[in-house]
Amino acid sequence: MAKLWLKRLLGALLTIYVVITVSFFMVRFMPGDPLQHLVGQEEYYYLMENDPAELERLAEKYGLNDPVGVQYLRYLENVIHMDFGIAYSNKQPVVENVLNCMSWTIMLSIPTWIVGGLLGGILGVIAGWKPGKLFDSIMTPIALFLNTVPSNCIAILALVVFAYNLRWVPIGGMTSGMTTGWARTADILHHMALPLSILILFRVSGDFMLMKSSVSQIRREDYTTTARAKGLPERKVLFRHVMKNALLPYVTSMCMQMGSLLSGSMMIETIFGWKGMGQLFYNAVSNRDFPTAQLCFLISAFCVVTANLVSDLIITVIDPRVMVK
Amino acid sequence: MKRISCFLMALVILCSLFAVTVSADDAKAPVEHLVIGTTTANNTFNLYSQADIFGRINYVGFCRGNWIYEAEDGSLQPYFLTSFEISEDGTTLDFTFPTTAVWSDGMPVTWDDVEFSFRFLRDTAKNTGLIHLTDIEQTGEGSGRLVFSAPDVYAYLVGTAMMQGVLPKHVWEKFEGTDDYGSYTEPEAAVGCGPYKLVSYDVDAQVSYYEAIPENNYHGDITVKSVTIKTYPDQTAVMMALNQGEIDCYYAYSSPIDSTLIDLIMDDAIDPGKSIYSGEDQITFGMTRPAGMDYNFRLAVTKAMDWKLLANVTGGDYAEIPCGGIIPPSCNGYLDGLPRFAQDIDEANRILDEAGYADINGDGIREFPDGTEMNILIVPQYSKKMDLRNRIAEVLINNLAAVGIKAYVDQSIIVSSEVWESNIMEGNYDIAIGYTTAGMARHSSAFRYYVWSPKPGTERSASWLWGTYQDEEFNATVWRMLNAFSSEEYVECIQWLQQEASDTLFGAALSWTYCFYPYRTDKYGGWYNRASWGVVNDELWYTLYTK
Repeated sequence: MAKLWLKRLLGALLTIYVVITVSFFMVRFMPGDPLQHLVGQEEYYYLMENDPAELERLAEKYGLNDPVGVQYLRYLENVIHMDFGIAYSNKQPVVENVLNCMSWTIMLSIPTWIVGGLLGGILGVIAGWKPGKLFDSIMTPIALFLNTVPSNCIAILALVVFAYNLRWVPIGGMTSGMTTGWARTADILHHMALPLSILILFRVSGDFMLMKSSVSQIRREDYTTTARAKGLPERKVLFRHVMKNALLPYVTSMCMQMGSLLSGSMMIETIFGWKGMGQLFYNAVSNRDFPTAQLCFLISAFCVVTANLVSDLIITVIDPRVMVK
Repeated sequence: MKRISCFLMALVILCSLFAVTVSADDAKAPVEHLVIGTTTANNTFNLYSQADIFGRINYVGFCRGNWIYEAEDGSLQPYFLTSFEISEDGTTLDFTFPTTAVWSDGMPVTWDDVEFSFRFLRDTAKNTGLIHLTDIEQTGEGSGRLVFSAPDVYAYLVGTAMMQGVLPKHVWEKFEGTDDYGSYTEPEAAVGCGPYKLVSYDVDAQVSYYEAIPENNYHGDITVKSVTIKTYPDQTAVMMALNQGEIDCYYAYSSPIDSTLIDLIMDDAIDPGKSIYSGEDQITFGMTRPAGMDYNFRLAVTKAMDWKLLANVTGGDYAEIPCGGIIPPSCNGYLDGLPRFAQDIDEANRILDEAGYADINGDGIREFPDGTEMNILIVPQYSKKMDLRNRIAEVLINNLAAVGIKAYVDQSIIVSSEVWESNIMEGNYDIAIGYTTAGMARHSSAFRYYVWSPKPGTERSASWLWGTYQDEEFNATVWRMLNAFSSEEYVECIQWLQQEASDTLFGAALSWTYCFYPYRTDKYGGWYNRASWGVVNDELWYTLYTK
């Protein structure tokens, strides 16, 4: 058993190393001179004409003139020391930027994960246990609709209706600023109401469909019929036989979602001006901010790999047969 | 009776005076709090840096006491420098500055600060406009002189002085000889002597708050007492905030509100802030290649182009067909009266036929006059607006096809900025599609993108040169314009260049677009919408009043 887990752990570490390497080379082979993004296109051409030495100095400062191999080794060394350098975009330490954005992302992602997971699961069980009934007939089309329409469309519509027309919530941002203590907390809650609601809505619809599908499938299995035939009350059939089996794919899905807790939702964060990891990643890639993009890649990969490991662990606990297989 | 008459007359005069005073006060009541919306980040607060909204709004003399500013007519106006005079040979600048100005931390602004600033900008920041600055002399309590070894004064003033200002020596002297000044983030990095001081900011909220410094009244009394700058995620959100009255106006350097969003204005109290943009999209003919070398070909291309469609592609309903001199009317030295472009397919075909561009092999495509295959290479500029450039290229390809000219875009050239640039530098294009920003248009103009010869006295490899027009007089005039030592010389050069562009068609603007910097008119009056800049300009802080 220990050997197996060690093997998995090594596999996870190897995956992370590959991601580190791929992310390093990928960002460097993307089109565009990083210096141009570092100083801005207009300033870049201005300096090219008037002060090429300054451009050279900047390239030297950011190590862009070194051979790729040297840059790679330096990068690996820095990763080990958790030193990701200075962000091109705002000249601040990358780790500082990322930690700041991460805290804002977590504010949205963890409630989404918990509330969405619980609500989606419970509603899915109810709909799947009695398919075709009133609740299922109402919930399934709604969930299907939400699963089909892109989240950015709904987000923009919600923004127009609730923020612009009804003025229930602010147009964007994370806080109005210049407040402290409880006033600030209340202000942040006010700002996060709409993006959080939309994220939860989409997460509930996805989880609902998954759980409903699992439950409705398992309730037709032979062992469920046997349980009923034994005269077990419906509640016991549901909790002992159906739920336990339906939880396996659901837990896997929840664990995979956990892997994206720190990545943030690029679309929602961009639309609502939420300065989280999604927006940071988006800006880093579009502005060729290599150091920031690399750390974002790395965090994302680390979370997914860790989530996979945790998923394996939990599933083994729920159903030990998986490990035997 | 006499007494009563005198009394009545005195009463009337007093009443009139009172009424005039009251109405004057009503009309010019100061603005307590102005809210500016932007899409530029509110993260960095460094007086030297151009980063983020703090850096960008300092272009218009906000927290930084810029040396001078430029009026709409292109004339240079005093700002921190209360007066200035350029010597006849263009090598000396005599100036005065206020002795009452204060830094935002309460310290007085002194000659030491002024002297330090020029020295810092020349030696530490390596400002190219000051490389020939040899002496910085104090000539009086509130006056000084800059002496250059070359006639660079005017070029420095129009080039960078209006976006630079005096730096507090007590903050920045520790950075002399280093290169860390741009990333300095301590609170004192924002200390300036502009008409406003940074009071507080909230990076999470993307909001910053400023209050006026009454002593720093470089352009008259400051009428806006405090300012909040709020950053929104995108221009749509800005438009929503403007409609709701959450903000009073919009500002973002060289990023006007997209014309497609102007229809979002839902309130009569919002003025779209429309003005003609000083930058433009443009084409450059490859004048070292067989097609571009031939005036008839260039003329035929401009006759074949669907100018209405091109204007629509670049500026929607808010663009007009340009005239032959490339630069739009909002640019300094604009030459009026040049012919406006118009599509004329028949004329284009006639010109090509007469010039010998015939379809020899009968495949519907014209060949060169010597019978060789003609395939026109169109190269859109590699930039963030690639989609627009590609769309323009598509229109051009279709327009040329309509007169039997085969054209194409080589995707391998536009895969990266380096590949694109090396092709442009080598003149590897028949038609290049480029862009001049409003900032560049100001004193460099679109013509800098057409120049082929390097700056006199420098190697060709040392400069970025995208043009292929090798005419000596043209190149000399562009460099004379870029290094002009008086506004008269600049205007003379740029007008010659416009005439030359119209006559020889070495290039052409694709459209002249309008830009939008919307603002609300219900609360405040005294807005002045400066072309390409909008209402947030150097004069706003002194002219706005509460209605």
